[in-house]
Amino acid sequence: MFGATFFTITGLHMAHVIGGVIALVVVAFTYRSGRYSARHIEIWSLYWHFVDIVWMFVVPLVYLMNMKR
Amino acid sequence: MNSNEKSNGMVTTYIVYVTILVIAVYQVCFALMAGPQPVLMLMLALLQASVAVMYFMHLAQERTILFLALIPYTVFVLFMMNMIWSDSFRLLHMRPH
Repeated sequence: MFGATFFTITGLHMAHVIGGVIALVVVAFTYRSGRYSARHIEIWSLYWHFVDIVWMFVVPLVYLMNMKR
Repeated sequence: MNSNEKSNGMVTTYIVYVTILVIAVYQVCFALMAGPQPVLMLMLALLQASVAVMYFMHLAQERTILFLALIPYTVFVLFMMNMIWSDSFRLLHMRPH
């Protein structure tokens, strides 16, 4: 159960990060074409900040709470 | 948005970014010096997340009714997260049993 919990938390987070990075790279290279509106960029930024906020809880839970003094 | 408003917005963004960074550094230093403190760590993470939601995700600029409407859902999610605590506490010892 430990391995399942650990790798589910970190693995799902990694999947979200990879998805976000791909989306941001696509937007970075294609935003000049005018395909995306400001609302599209805002939605992707909300997604990226969501991933960021999840990481704020993953780091203490998985890495900081087991540090030895 | 004129250039002055845009500049103020970037100043706020930098302040929020530095604030989150300082809290993260404090978390790591505190964890290294004082050992595991689950409640403090989660409170600091909650503070970081609150600042990010308010400013990076623009909740502070939304209408008050939207802010209030999110509270029940937040409480529900936090309540449902308790399902995993019994197992996730094993992470404190970084071992399966």
